[in-house]
Amino acid sequence: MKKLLFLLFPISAFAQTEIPLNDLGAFKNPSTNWTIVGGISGDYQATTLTSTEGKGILYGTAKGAKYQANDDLFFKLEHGDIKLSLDFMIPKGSNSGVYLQGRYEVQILDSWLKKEINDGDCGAIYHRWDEARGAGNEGYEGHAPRQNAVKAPGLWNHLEIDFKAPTFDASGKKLTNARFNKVTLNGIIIHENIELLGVTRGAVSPKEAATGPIRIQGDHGPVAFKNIKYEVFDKAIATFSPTTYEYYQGKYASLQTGNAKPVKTGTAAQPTMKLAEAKADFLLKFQGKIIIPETDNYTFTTNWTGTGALLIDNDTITKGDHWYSENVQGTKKLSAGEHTYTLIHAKDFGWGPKALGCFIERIGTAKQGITERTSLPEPEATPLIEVKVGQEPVLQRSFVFYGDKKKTHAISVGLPYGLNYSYDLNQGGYLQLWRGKFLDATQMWHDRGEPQTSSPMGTTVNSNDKFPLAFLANESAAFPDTLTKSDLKYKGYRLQKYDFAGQQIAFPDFMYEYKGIKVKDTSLPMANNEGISRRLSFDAGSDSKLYALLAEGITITNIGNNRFAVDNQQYYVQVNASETNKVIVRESNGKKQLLMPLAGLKELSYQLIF
Amino acid sequence: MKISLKILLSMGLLSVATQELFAQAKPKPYTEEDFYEIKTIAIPDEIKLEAGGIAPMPDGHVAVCTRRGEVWIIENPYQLNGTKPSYTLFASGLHESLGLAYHEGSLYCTQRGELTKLTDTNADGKADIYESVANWDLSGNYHEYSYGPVFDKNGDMYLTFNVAWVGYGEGKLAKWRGWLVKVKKDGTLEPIATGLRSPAGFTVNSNGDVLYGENQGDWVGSGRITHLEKGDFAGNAGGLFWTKEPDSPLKLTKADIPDTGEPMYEAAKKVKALKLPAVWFPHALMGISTADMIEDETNGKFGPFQGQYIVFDQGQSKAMRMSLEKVNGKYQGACYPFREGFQSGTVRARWGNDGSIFVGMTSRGWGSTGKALFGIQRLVWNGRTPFEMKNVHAMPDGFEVEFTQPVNLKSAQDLASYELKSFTYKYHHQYGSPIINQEKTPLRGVIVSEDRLKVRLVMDNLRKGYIHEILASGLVNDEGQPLLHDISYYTLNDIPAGELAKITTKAVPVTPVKPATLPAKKEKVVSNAPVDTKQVAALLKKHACTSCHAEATRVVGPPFTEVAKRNYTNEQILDLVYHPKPENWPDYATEMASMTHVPKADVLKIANWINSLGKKQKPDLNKIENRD
Repeated sequence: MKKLLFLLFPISAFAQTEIPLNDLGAFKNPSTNWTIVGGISGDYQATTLTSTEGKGILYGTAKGAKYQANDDLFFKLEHGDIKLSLDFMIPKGSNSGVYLQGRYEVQILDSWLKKEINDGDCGAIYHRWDEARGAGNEGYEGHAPRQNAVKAPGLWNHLEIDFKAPTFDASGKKLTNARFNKVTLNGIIIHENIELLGVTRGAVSPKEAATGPIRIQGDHGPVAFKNIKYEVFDKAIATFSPTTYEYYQGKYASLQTGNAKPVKTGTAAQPTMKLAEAKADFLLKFQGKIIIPETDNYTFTTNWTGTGALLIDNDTITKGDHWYSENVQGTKKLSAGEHTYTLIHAKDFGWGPKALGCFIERIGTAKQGITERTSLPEPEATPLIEVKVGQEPVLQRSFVFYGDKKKTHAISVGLPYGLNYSYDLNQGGYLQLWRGKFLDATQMWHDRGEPQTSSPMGTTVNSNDKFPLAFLANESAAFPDTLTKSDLKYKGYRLQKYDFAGQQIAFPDFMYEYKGIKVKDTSLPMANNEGISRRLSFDAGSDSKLYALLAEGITITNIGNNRFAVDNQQYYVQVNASETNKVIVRESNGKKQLLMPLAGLKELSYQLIF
Repeated sequence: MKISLKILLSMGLLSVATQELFAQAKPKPYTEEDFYEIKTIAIPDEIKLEAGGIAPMPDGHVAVCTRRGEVWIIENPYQLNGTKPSYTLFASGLHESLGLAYHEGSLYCTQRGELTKLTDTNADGKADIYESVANWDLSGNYHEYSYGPVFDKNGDMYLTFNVAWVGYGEGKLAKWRGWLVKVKKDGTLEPIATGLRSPAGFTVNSNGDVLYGENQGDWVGSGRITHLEKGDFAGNAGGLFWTKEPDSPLKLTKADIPDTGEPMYEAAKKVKALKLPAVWFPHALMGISTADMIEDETNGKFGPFQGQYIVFDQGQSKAMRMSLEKVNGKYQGACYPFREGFQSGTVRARWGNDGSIFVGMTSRGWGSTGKALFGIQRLVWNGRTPFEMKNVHAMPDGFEVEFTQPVNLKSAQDLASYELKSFTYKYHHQYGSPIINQEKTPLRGVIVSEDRLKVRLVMDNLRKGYIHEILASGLVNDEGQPLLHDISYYTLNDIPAGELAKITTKAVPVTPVKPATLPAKKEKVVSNAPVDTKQVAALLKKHACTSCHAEATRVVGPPFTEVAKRNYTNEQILDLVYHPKPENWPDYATEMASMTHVPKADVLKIANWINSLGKKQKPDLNKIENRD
């Protein structure tokens, strides 16, 4: 059987250039509201952020009076088409926003825990505004995010925006509308391909333009940013001469045509699969010229079903057997001027769609098709299979990806009101926790479901897949990474009724035997849905050296009231420490661990808030 | 609607064929549905009842577990007097559960990686305890399906574990893949036997013996049923990786297995642990993917086949029948067609309390002749006895065929009423096998018993290890009715001792039958020859093409109209029929077997017809293929 190599999609950097945050030099006349700090933290119940001196974080303190337009921050960067990515943090109740070209706002707001969201909530493309529409009807054409993807106040959120600027003819008449190609908040796609018919409320100008500066709203409340990166698409693109082609019939898996005569030859405006008449057993060879505008590194992407090769100036850039949905890439430095390309593709079997794509790009340009548009078919339409949660928890076993490993004995639990977690039944550890929609089971239930995986549909916090309890010789002894089946026996789960929102609702109690003690592990939503409350009960002896690992991450910051911000403010953990059972923050294998001795205890409860 | 239309069409084909065979005066031949009825159990619209397991309960409820991990309890599944069933969700969230059993008040369900005991302790109709009785490793490969449990008399449970699929069957990715295991009461796994590839159906019979069904694939030339005893190796090498474990009951390694393509019977002479199948189910001629089997212990409630087995085929959506006997202490026997026409892929079967069979079905991603994605139906005997070969017994010099009704003496004594031959398959690591070594088994004479219920066929050229085909199309009963199914396949691993029949007829010399390699007859099939649709329809049915292919709809294999779009020449189609290239059709789960036993002239007629379908519509080269 012919084997086609299936590559994972190469993950290209989303945005390439970083805005330096050593000072405010990247911004136009920033007001005194804006400052550069080295560290920042918050608490989900606090309306302010706490900063420490240093560099790397842009902090809008909102210390001035509210609604002073000069507190808005304008980037010196003027942009048209742009990909922008950044991390932001807001305290409780705060409000800000990112305006593309100073005109089209992606809203930043503390919408945490909101169940019904609209075009004013975090991630929304804010509405337009027209007084003439009459009182109460001024706002229009706003776009609510697909789901509420914001994290708790005081935690970092990650936002990615792919924006297409409006275009105009020489007379200034608009040719195409501005468009958000894609907006992603905390890994969740919240908008895709949305056209804006005009500027949103609060724009610097009602008049649209080809370029404008990024603007951050700074007069509504405190906000912090870091890792601001962008790529603008303003560089000159390549041009192409018409291509010559040769079309052969027969099997040419080696791409060598030898003495064979082509069935057809000629020239075409662009290389295209349409020139292959047969479904299978053919070879197409195109040769043409690319006129490169500036010396730079150029990346080529090819797609085909079968085998092929792309040569630039006789250097092989991509080649091999591939399925057409794979983006096979190669990069070459090219000098300004004329270069030749040779694109060869052979298909020597009948199955799979005929497909040929070849693209060129560099930093600062969009991907340009060298091949004709219809030469590469679009991907298959696969329906979403979503597992939904109603008034009661929903449990679903599947394989679950944890990093690049499949966990084979995993269960995902969707709790009412949008808190969810995946749990490794073999280890008794959380794999991930998330807020939002429950589970995408398409990869398990569509067709044969070869991956047999399901995945979170909401804003996700990764966890460490560790059983939270261990017998340790002392408080500096290493916590075990994984447990064997002889140390930890999974016994099953019981659906046990608990009081929740005034009702008796059944939640799973996971049952284990750990080194001779019985352990029960239950996860419940917190009363106001701020996070997940984990309850562990265990029948260890009162003098036992049993410890609990409550959190692990690059940082663990004590923010007071037995509350800690974990892993660069990815989530909070609330503990219930006492004089006899004090928590310890310690270093282990380059990570911080939050450890609690359990001597004398029969149960433990702690909360994960995100 | 589609299904009923399809049935009408196939009946139409049948009547064309039968008009040619029988004069007008002959009675209208009976069909399967005149004896065994298929009753559909209504499923609420929102339930995807992709049945992987079925457990009838003593109170008349039936529990069904699904590939989406749900367990539904159906009240009133018998729909007595036209009443409706009612569904309750008993459990959910399981991982592709493909087996279910009721035992002492709990349901035992096999998920991919765990045997789970589901118990409702608070009587609200829903399981609240999901106890992990046993769990085992998985690699994450989708093909590592797990099946069972089947309880034995002691309350121990058996499970079977598919090997992974990585272009071939691989067992080493996770422990005990490719094995039959017993789960003891304390939850530990006891490995029993290996060599399993895709053991979707198995049973513990009334003697306490484990029989399992195998799917054609690598090391498996055709579907088959094998009796597994401790230490047996059933043929697929994937699971042998684990024989190095201290608790493995056999020490055989992959290096010990001859991978020569010789018949399995020959290989088994060299490898003591290699267990021969009790019954082969010839690929496409009987089924294409052996699934569940159950022994008829209904004492006549299901008809005249007490002690025999009803065996299901997932891909062909049908039930087959199997009779076993022990010759020199080992099971062997015959298989027979039984009942076609289920709505989806027939994976699971269990006896209902009334002697009918609940059949659970799913075809998502696997394909099946029945077009529905899932379903549950009941197979019910209506009290009328079909005229069938009831049983076939091996004799020292042939076979004794037992019938359900007395045979017409004249037809039974006519040697032309029978066509006999034998063949076997290759044993090798490749996927499937063509039919090989096909030879005639000349009939020297017949002896009809006094009560005309038995016919002894005295034959030459009996070969051990071969599948002996008995086609008795000339037989009729007293009514003048032909056999409801005129064919059976007996797997002759051993020939019993005994008295030879006294027949004075001169033996006919043995001539090998190799229709595939014979030169084509002079009648030339030109590619633009007019197409005789009726003749082609008869050929498609005769050679079992229609088991997997339909003209314009996807069944197990691609529709002929799709084949036509590939623009093969008739000769290329011939080549592909003899040497299929499953890689040409990667969207189809079931690979086609080589059909070299179909005569070249017939294939070319079919190929010519296929290509005539292509002419009706010029294929759009640029159309994106639907890779559903």
